[in-house]
Amino acid sequence: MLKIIVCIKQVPHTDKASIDPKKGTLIRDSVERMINPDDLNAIEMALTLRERFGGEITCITMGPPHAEDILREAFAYGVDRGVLISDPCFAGSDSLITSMVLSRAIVKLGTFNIIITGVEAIDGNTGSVGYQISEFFKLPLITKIHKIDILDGSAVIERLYGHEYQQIRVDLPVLLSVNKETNRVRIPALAAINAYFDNPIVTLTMADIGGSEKEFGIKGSPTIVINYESFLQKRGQERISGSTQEKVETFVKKLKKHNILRY
Amino acid sequence: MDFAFSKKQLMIQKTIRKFACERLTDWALVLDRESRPIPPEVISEMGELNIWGIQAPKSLGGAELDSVSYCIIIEEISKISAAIGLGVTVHNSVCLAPLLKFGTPGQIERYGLDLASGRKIGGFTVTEPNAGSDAAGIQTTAVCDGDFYIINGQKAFVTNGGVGDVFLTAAIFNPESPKKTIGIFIIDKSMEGFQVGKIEDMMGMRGNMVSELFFNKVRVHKDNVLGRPEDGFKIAMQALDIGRIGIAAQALGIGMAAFEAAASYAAERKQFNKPIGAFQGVSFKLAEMKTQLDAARYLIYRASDLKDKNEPFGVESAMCKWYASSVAMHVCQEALQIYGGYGYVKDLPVERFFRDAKITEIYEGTTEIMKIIIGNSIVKEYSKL
Amino acid sequence: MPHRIRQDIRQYKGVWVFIEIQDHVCVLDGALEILSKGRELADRLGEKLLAVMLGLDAEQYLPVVSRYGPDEIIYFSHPSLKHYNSEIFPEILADLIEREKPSIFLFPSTEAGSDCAPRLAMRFFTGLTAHCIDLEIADSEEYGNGILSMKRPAFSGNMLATIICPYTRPQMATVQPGVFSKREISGSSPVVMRREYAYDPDKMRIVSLNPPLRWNKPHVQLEEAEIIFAGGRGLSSRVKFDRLFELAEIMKGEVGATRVPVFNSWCGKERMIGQTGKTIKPKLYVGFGVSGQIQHTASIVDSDVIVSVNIDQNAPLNEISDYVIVEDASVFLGKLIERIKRDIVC
Repeated sequence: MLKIIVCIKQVPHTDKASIDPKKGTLIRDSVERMINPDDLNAIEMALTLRERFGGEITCITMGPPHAEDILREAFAYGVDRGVLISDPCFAGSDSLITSMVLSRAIVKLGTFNIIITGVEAIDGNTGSVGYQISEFFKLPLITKIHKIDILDGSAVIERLYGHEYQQIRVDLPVLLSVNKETNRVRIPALAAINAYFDNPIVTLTMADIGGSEKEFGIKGSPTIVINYESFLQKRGQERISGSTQEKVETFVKKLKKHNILRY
Repeated sequence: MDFAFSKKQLMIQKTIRKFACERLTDWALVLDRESRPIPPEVISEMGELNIWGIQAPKSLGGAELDSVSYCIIIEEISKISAAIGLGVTVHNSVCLAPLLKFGTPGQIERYGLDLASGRKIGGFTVTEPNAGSDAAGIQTTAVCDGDFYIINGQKAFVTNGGVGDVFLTAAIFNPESPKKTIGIFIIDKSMEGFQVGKIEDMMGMRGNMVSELFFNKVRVHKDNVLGRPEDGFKIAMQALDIGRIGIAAQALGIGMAAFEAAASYAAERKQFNKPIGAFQGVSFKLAEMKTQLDAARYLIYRASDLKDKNEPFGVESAMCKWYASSVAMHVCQEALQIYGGYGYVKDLPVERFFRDAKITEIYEGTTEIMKIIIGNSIVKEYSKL
Repeated sequence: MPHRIRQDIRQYKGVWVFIEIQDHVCVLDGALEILSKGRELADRLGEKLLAVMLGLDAEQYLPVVSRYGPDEIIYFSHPSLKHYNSEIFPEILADLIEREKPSIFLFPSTEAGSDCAPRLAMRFFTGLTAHCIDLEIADSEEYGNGILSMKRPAFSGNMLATIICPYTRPQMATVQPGVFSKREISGSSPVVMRREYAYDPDKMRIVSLNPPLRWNKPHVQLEEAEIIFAGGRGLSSRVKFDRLFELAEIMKGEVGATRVPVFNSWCGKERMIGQTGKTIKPKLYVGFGVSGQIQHTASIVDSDVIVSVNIDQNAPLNEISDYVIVEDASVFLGKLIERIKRDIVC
């Protein structure tokens, strides 16, 4: 029976995120939140593996209390356990500290065979956490998976690596990093939503994973954000006006002026 | 009193919205253009998501959801395809629901599992060419013959008629007797003498194979009578009480689709150098549309909530059905007006919303019948004082 | 905040750049671009610039790397280094960092760089800033002088964050190829050092079962294209997006995309422009229905002419555009194709 850990993250709905025009910061309260898209592919991978080889899936997420919403969503997809890793002192952790917190929580949860993460989160886009968890546990991290089989404690995987298709064997445990190229995420059934949505969630705090406050959050993170600015290198912004056809004509003239169209 | 959806209901909304957008959007167009039924693969995909057994118990493979969730699902599907929404709500609320409520364990076992999974599609039929609002005036007969009834007659405007497998069918016992008793029969399309008639070529809801049904000496075993034989009319009326909530949710879905299209169009479309939404002529329309839709929404949820609390909900169901259908019609008309000429052409879905909306004021009891139900209950209540 | 100083950071000196060998046939351009940037940083610090290279027959690349001005090159040459290997490469580099103590270590944010850099950061428990779009040396009263200041998009790409890593070393960053320009330094003659490595193959966790098959990536020349028509959310459907290809064909340009079209599979990821896609500098960039989140705009700012076609007159892309056309993107696209076709016929 496979013990599968899936790391997921709650992210702001990027399309709907709005910026305070005066302060230049993200208006956090107004933001709709969701499961990071790649992480749904991670859940899908776990479900497929469980269907084929049997097992138990534990979804973990680090975040503020409202991050439990995405664990409920994970329940609806059919994961067995949901763990929220939440402590005020984790706030502001950079990739490294996030990786460390997740890794320590995984240690706390006991043995596992497979960890699955999304390739990257749409809010931070660092794409580092999977690698750092794999480094913490000294696990091979496999991406761009085309096909996977589990045989006698090993994973036999076909993957794309650079410009090559490879068939490889890796002894478990292993870390798989997946995104939308890997699989197609199912839509959860209504019965599953009804039955599992309110399943109990386990919460782990700093006291559970060990350590002291100064190791975590902004205090513990080696990187410091010293400035945010809106990113504008303004240009001329010459408005091309008129009817649609007139706009097309003017635009074609501009292209000729810039020597881009030459007839 | 809590007007907010639970997180679970929000999850259901998000899930069905995603499914409908991804899997039904293209079909909505094709079904309407070509007047085609929902393809079997889509029916089975919907089955996997429990859409054919939304409120059926888990033991039958249903989702066992509450009635507000039910309405959310019908609304979301109908926003994308009112015709598919119609098929779903009729199957669930006037075929499967009465079967589960009044059926014997044997009937539930024989039909409930197949219906709740969508392996069989259900319908419900009272209406005949000469009996619409006057449901008691039906002429389809059921004559006793030993352990069987022989059914003869014709039904009209049967939703899911062309694709359905199981129909709850109203017929009168002993036509000669002065006291007419109506019974509800579970009729399987495989029964001899059952025939699907003409598929109607309709103004809207073109993806639903609404049809005539003919019963020519159909032998139905007594085990297929739903509930007590003499309770047929009562069962039919209770089924309609439930069915109307679903139709109201369907109307809400159509109205919401038209409203959302109109609101975003009003924000984008520019005339006189301003988005047309900046003119009060348009913004007042939007204000009215949204307010009316919200009013309809909460009437629907009230009826659903009463139903789940096992309290009487027939009048509330009639109220939400009347109001939501008339709001849907009004909103579609206003949306079309906001779109102007673009609303009248078939390139955009607004004209389809408009065509689809009209029937919600007619089927499952017309607006006028709804007002009779509501009016009678008021008069009755006040004459007691 | 003395508790944060985990190492004696003064021991750490020098700017290192990881020179990636692309498909074991050539030096990755992106690595040379970073090397050129590294030259600036090292000069500003008055420290050495060092290029680290691992590969099969790595000697062949030494002349190319030398031209971009490193003071020193350390290289490893071995058949097992033919491809990037996530077990061997970090091991070798970690050992090197341990001994030589660089202050700054920069990687291209390719598959290899994005694998290797976070692993090293974890081993040394130091900070890594991924997908940077600018680097400079800054002096700060609070954090000290000569620290690496890294800029990258933040908040889902709506803002630009300046990030430092003042208390731990090395200061690490990955940089998207195409962000900096490569510059040859004439007369550069670095000190070249070959190092040997020993790695026990039995330790390898990943075993290859069959000889790998060559896979030809669909090669889209976005980086080299002179004209790019990019589509965004505003095109609203695959059918509308497809018309970009028509325009690209008649104008001999290429089609690019923001995240939304790629996410909705209107086109493949090889066309994505942005922080996790490609960085472009064409003569003409036209965004059709591109709202202009920073993840995307940061990767197009070096275009000569930027045009925004968007129904939303407040689309952020407009601000960095030379020309702004407020119009439904797909309508305008259709008319433009019609118009240019007419010209060609004439």
